[in-house]
Amino acid sequence: MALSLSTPILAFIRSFPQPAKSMLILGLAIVVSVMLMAILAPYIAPHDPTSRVYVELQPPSWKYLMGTNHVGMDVFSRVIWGSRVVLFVVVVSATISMAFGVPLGLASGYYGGPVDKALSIVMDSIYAFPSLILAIAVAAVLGPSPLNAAISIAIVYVPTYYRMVRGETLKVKQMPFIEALIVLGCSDATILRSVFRNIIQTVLVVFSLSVADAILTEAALSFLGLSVTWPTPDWGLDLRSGQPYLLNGYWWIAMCPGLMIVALSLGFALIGEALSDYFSIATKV
Amino acid sequence: MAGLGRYVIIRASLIVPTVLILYTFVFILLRVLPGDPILAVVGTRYIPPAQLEEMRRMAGLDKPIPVQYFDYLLGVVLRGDFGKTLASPVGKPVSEYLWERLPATVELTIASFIVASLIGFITGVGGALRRSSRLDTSIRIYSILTYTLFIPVLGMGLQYFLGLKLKLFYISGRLSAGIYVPRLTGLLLLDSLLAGDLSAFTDALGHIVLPSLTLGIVLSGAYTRLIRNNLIEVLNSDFIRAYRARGVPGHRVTIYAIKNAFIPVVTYMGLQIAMLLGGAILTETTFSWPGLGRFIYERIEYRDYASIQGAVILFAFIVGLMNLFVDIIYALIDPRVKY
Amino acid sequence: MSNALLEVINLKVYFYTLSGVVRAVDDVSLRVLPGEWISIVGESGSGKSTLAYAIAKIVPPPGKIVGGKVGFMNRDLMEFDEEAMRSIRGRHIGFVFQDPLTSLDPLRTVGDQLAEVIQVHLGVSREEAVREAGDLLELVGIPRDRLNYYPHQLSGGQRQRVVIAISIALRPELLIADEPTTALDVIIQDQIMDLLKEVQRKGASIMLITHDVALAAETANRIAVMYAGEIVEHGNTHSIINAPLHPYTVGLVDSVPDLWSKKSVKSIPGFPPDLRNPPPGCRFHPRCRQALGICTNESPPMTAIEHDRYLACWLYLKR
Repeated sequence: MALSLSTPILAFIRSFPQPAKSMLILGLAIVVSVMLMAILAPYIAPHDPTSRVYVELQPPSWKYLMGTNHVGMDVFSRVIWGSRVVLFVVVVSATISMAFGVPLGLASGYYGGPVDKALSIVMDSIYAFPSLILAIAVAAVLGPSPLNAAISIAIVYVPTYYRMVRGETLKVKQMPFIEALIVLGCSDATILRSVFRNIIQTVLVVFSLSVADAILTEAALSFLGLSVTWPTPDWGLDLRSGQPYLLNGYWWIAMCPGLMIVALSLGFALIGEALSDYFSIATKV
Repeated sequence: MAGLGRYVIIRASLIVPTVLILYTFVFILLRVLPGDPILAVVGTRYIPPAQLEEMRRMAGLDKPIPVQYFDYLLGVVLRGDFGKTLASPVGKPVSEYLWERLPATVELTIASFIVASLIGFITGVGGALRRSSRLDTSIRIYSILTYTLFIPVLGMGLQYFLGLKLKLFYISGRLSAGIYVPRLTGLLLLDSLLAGDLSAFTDALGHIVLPSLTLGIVLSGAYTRLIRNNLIEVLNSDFIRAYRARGVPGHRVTIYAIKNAFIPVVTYMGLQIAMLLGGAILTETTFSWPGLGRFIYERIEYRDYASIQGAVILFAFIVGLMNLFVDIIYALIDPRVKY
Repeated sequence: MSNALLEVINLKVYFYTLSGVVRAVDDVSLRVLPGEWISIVGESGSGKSTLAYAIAKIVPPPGKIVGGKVGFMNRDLMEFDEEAMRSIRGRHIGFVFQDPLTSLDPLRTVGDQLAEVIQVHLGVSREEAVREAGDLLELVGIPRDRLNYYPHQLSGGQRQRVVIAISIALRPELLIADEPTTALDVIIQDQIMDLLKEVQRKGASIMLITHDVALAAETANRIAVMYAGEIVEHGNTHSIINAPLHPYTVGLVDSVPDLWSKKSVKSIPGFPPDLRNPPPGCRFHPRCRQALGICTNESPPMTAIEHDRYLACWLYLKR
């Protein structure tokens, strides 16, 4: 079973030209290890992430790989457990925004008309606005919690999916095989399904790049105290609470979780870049 | 120039719906989402119902929603009135905060924009002129990396190395204690020069380097990529080959190519504004930079919705205005735009 | 050397792409006399444009001139450095490219672009260059007040006239026109061709590069037929058109529709070869109905079969 599934995946990866292949492999390696980290956290974290295990502010050592924080918690264990919050928020938010953005963009692009025009103007306006500021405003009103952070991020990313899917739908709609389906009198559902199959590559690329971006937005919300509350381990929050100590020379408390944020975001960005090279979709950043 | 005047008016009228939509969107979000602004401020304290009613009236929340919608909009547009804060100090006009904080954000974003453009220009042009070289590959990696660099992480890294270890620059704030700059524009670099106070200028400069470098680096990657790709496209275009076939010197041809590659970059700057302002919140928080972004962060703790709403709507107006500005620049540099 | 204006000898231009070496121009020899009009005919991808670029040494990367000689005005251009070439380009060799829409800089006025080429080569003052530019515009039939127009404000035909004005600004001895009329409609095509004839009448040699045999024959003194990076037949226009010998030339001439004759239009079956891996022997043999055994493994040499008539085909050569 595992073999029958992994063979086509490996073949797919092998079919990538360089340097996209290296980028894909590196990206997948990062993302898969963080996922494993989140799933296996109870088994691989050496210490309880929320209780004092040793003297505070100890630099990294063999026993405490990333040192201890200002209250003597093990930074390494907190980094491992912290992956859970990021992944939860990002998965929930991406699911919600795709669930709205993709069908809306598809229908809007396919049917056109005044509704499409109005919707496009609204989405473009929101897209032009700083997404982080909007997410902060929404999260501030909803109150700090990971679920609320996910909802605010989801709202902010709907226009990203909408715009891309709508644009691709308009392009695909003019292709001869879709026009043929229309002439043949196929039902809208059939045609839409066919259109969707042809834009799925774009959705994949946008998904990877948006997730890379959403990770940073999630980190920003928790950095500003709008996601989990202390002492729950979370990368953004730990970055924030470690900053005063960093400015006194204890860099590891903030930097270890901080670099994990960058690494995870980089992982998704690399996958997105590789996919877009592969599908040769021009990514307008 | 009469044509340009008309163009500006038409463009401006196109910006109005954008700003209105954003205002409406923010307004609806803040009203529809669960969470009562009054109760949020009050928290767990006990306040007599009569006083709650009074607060509600003062914030205009007792009126029907459509009335609130237009009252607030008219207040902003006609009087620059963004309502009053309900958190401490209760009753202070939000606009006072906003005008106090706005210049710091403007100064930071301008400085960051300059940093981003410089880095983006040098790396983008370098990558395009030496396509497929090792330099080009590293430049591509750079542009991906900046896309994922979390602002506080880069900021703290710079604070640690350039501020703490090398002691080159200040790590937080806008100005050292004890230095005073008379406020004219609110932009400290400009005001200190206008006042002829060179030591204050140096001090302000020492403070702005790290935050603007942070935000600038993060934004530069997108420019790098855009300039590189555009320039490669232009360099392959027919008219560049035609220039060479006419015996026009290489350095001139390069300059013409760069000019042409720049047109789409200007259009992109409109979208970049959103990233610039969004990034400003994180940069300001990381460097205790007293701008609008940090203001939002501070007011979150007070659950001061009125202030957050005011700041967000002010941002909406700034985004609209900047887009108009970009449109005008675009029209001025590209002869193909008719006006 | 000789009395030829341009003498190309065994020129080879290869493109070093990721997927292999493309032999775009392979062992091409050609001679252009002063004041004559030569048309180079071939399908797209036959290497005719690359040949033109190679003459001015502006082959775009990853292309490289890997062998041969280009003699121009009795000088060997292969020994010229970039700076010396620059003084040849525009000054002694003018270029007109296919698409007038894209061969002018959209951000500069046509006057600027015209005056620039005069200033660059002659070092005259700006005023003088602009005055000259105005004269040139009038020469190609455009009012002088269009100097301040941007390319997008002109029609396609006007733009091509501007391009021609730029390319003849310094009265070059050789004007290379690469499909100068392909992007234009028929009436404008005639006007542009008339303009080129006018240029020839004033003493310049013209090298017209085209896929259109009828157009090539219209005014040319001589025609060279290119196939898959090689010249396969070369001679005066009359003999090439009326008595084509190489099966490819025969095919090309037969493919021209003729209003006054009843003969049917024939096309050449098959496709040009992949120049990364051209067929052995004669490159045309896979498409040739008359191919002999020798054609599949030995490349026919270019041979003078009569005065000023050259042919590379085993059908007419003795081993």
